[in-house]
Amino acid sequence: MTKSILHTVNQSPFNSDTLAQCIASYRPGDSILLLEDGVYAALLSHAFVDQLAGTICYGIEADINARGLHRQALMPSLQLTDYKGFVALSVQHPLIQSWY
Amino acid sequence: MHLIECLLSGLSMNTIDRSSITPKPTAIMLRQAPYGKPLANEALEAVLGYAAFAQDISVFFIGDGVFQLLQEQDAEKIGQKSLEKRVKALSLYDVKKLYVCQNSLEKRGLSANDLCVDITVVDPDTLSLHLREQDTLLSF
Repeated sequence: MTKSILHTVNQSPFNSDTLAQCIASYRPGDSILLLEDGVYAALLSHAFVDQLAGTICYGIEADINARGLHRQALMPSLQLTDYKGFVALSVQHPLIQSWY
Repeated sequence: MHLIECLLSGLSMNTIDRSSITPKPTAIMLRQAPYGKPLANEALEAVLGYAAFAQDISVFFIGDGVFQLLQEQDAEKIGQKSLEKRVKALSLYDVKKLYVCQNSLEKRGLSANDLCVDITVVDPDTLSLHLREQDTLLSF
């Protein structure tokens, strides 16, 4: 069995190629955690959510709230979490790749 | 402080029996263009640091990191050392597993012929699979 990876993305996809790089190496069993400016990737009004479709995707709620993003403006499949959740995800996946 | 010094801080080369270190498969991912920021240079230092401890390293050039591989880098006039020389030196340090992302090359209009070292070109599927063979991923 191959190892799963927790991918963290902290850059806005509008400014950076990191989300695309993350998606290119994402495989079933992996998880993506959007944090800091990475949370903009979950905006329903943009095509980035098409790339995220079918992935297991989490977002740090405090980062989302801080940026004034409303839950209904974000993709429904996005699972909200906090830093405790981040730790749990880190334990759950044998590998962590930080796309920063 | 240089990254390599951070990595080695608290460790003295003299007091460590290197044969006692079990090689841990580690991927070092180089994703930064050279020269604009110090990170590309620091990352190559980290690679050499790992190599000094005889670790099992694979190096992946991804995204703008592929620009580190271009031939005829002449950085003297901008007051920097050529990263090309450093990349070419990797094989001297027994870093033999070098991979470059095919998509990243194509996106930038490059091919293997443009690169300064013999390197394995991998598609995203193969690259993703290689990452899962590691114990540790280091991203720069």
